[in-house]
Amino acid sequence: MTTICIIGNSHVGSLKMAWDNISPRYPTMDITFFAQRGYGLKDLRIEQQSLLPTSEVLASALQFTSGGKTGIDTRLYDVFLIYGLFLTPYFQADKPFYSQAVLQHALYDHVEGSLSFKVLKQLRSITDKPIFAGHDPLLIPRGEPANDSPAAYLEAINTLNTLFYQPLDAEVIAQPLDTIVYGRHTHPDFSKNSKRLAVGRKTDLESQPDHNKGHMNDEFGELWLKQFFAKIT
Amino acid sequence: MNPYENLPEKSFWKPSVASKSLFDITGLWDPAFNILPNHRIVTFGSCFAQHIGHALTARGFRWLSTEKPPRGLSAKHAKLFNYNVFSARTGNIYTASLLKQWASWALTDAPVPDEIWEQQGRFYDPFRPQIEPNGFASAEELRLSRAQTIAAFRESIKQAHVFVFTLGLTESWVNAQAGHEYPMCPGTVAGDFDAQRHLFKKQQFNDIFKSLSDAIEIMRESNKNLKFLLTVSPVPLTATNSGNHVVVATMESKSILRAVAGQMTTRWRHVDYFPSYEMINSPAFKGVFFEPNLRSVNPYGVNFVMNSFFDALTHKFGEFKPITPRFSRMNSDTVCEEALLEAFGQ
Repeated sequence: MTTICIIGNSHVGSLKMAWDNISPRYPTMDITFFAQRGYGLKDLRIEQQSLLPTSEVLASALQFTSGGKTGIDTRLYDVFLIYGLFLTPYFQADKPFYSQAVLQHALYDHVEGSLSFKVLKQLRSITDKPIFAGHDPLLIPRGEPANDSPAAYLEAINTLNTLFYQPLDAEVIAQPLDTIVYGRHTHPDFSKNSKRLAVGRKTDLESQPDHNKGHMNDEFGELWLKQFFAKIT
Repeated sequence: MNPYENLPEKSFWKPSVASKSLFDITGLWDPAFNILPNHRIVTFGSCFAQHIGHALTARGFRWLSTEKPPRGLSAKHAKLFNYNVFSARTGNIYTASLLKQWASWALTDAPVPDEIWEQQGRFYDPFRPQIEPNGFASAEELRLSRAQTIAAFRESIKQAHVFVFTLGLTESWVNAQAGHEYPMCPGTVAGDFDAQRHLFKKQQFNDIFKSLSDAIEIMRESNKNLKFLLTVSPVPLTATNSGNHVVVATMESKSILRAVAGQMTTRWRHVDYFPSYEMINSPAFKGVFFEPNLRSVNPYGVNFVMNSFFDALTHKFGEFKPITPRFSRMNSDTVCEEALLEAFGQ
């Protein structure tokens, strides 16, 4: 049994919905989710080998999403995945030209400012187990963008790993290539048919609004998890 | 009856200066042409030109940058690497001859010299020696970066409605063999000084007038509607190699530049002069806009100059409506929350 801890924000939703569907097919995998919307996970603190909430709101969210756990005890898991948390995808194209120093500073600013990287550093300070990071999904396209290859996207993933994640013995994982269109977008099909939560509003169970170009559905989550499982096994 | 009897108040020192608080002195600039917020304005030149670009953006004018920093680069690091300082990453263009040099590289067949300075394994661009704080990783990287800037400079000229240029210096350093000019004396910021190869040139009125005229003509060949707004940097010289006292050298240098700028406006209708130099340096303003070192212009001075700029445009052409950003990124958190709860709430 491989115990997996997935930590993230709203983007974790697609993985959770997928896991609900596919878990019977992966009896050797056990996933615990710890999620809170937006920047909520900024309120984690380190205590011995655990990350614990410092606010009632976060404590409640962690308990809700993990099925009753009040904190992330790193001793209980074999692998960690930090998903979303404002680690946005980056593109490292040949043009316009930037010097290595400029690109490195841009990537530093890009990564260092993300909550994902903060949580990674917190985790790494209390565990030496494998840690992976998944970025916020590529946005779905507006109109008909130029049909680029994903080379600039993959190049940036490589550079992020070389400069910032490998030194922390961690790795950023690209989203599955078969979810990508135009080289830098997620296929629009993967953002369709997700429903709003039933919370007693008029909008309950309506499709998510058209302007939500960043949140993906369970089909996307399934492809993502399949790729992830292949990587860790 | 004499010609002075019917002149406006601004023509006389006593009512327009001596009888007023210095902050109430107005009307120094009568714009030759209107500049609208939707006009694309590019700024180059000496240090003081930076303030103009920033002020234009702050007031809702369309300051054009054709060499933008990469996504994610913080404002602090963008400044460190000289992005968004001028409209392209040329660094300071202190002299009219340097402006002509950049215009020639960007818009004519003039070859770009392949001179590169190496120092402790890093590579420095003689034409932008401070553009990267620690130089470039390789000569090839420097060449690619320089080519990018030349292309961006070309693009800025082609796209602009108004080219703002701040004249800064008359003293210059040139390569004795090839004739190209350096913005800084070799050996000061980077490179090695060689008295045989690096010659000092103190440019005179005719030199500067010709260089600036040539530069403008080259640019107008690519953009026949381009208008020019000249300013003279009010910042005194840091140092002079002229042999004169730096105060005397500064006064001589600024006087020549000011005279050239005036002559240009006489020659061409598409060239105007904005008197930021006078607003900082005239005795009417008692030096209050300088920092204690009597060289750097303080923020009050910059504000005063830029307020005068916009007030003059409004006074002559009427109120303007600032442009607004074309779109703002939506805050996706409201959607985020629902996505998360949906997944876990079933």
